[in-house]
Amino acid sequence: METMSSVQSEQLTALLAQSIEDHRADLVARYLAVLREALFSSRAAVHPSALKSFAADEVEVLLQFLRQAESSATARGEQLHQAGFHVGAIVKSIQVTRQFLLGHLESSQITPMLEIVDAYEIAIMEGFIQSIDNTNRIERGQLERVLNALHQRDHD
Amino acid sequence: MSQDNIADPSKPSPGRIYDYVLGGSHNFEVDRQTADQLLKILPFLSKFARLQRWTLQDIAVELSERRGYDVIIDFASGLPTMDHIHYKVPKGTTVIYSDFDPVVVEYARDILKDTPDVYFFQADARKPEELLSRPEVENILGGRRKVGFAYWGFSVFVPDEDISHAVRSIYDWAAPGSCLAFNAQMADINPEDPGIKVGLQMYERIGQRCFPRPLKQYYELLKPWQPDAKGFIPLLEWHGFDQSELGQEDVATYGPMGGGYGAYLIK
Repeated sequence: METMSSVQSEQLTALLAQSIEDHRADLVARYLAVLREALFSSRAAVHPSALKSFAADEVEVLLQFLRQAESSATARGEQLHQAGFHVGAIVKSIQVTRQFLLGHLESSQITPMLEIVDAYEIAIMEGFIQSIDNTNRIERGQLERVLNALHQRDHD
Repeated sequence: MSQDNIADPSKPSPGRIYDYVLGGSHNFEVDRQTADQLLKILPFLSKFARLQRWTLQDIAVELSERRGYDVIIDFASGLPTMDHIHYKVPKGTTVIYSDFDPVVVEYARDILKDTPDVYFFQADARKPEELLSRPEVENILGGRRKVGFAYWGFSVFVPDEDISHAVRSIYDWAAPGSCLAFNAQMADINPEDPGIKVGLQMYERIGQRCFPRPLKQYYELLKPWQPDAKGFIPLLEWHGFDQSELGQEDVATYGPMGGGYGAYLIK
């Protein structure tokens, strides 16, 4: 498979960003639909009234990623986990991204686009998993301290 | 409410089951197993629990920002995780949480650490006077008695006489203009529904009796508090959902409105 030059890659990301800008409302609506679908699987911290804002932010993060800010996607993954979203919501959002972009590209652009979306997915999932690990570590510490305190109290 | 098992991680606890159903992680294997069995029998339970918790977040905003209370006192709070009251209120609002379970209290204090203006006490929601008359609470309040209260997410576990006593004791303590956000939990469910029967038996087996009752009965129990003009609102409706969230079986079990109602009661 022929690899893209950096110029071609920049052209493609610019094109993707433009497609997103041109159809922003449609993409926000699609994100909103999958976040809504996962609402009752996500933690209760995800309030239904917050979904529109999360869906709009999804588009912003994707645009930032295309503008070469990889860390924004990792941070977004962390944020989504901390907000309480179920992993299913994340996976489906990325599916939406892929399907949306597929609908707005020439066939010759599909393979490089999929590589970009894969990189985006990896960054989001890395952030999400990092946040799970951090939360687990914090909660293990809490549990240890609580059990120690109760144990101590029993012996006082 | 049950006083058994609450500090014992080898036996299921209703509070930790609730945490698991809400997608939380402060629960043990024994709680998860019981919760999974309950969810098999009563699949709407997970939606029901979320509706309750989202409403509590709305209550925090309503009481503090819209109705102007600078103190919120919450009973049987469970863990102060990020879907709870103090995350939703403006800075400077005093939030007093309470719970009967010593494990929850210890956990809660570890979670809150030195969060300003947020306190957590061990107290029995059936006897609010014990919390309200604690010297530490009096000291925090500094004489403030026009307060927003939340009695939310556990009324099905409280017998009639204890609900009457609790709300009366809050009423007597509170200054006129105080507000009590109350959740009529599992009101108008069908007690003859096979799923409900099994669910109630499961709770009973873990030492927690349930007291489902019609909404009409709640109105009686809550006197002399008066609901505001909106009265009790079904939680489905509260969040803009309609009955399509309920399957046919759910309607047979929980009633057409999903079994949970909330109201702001005024003194």
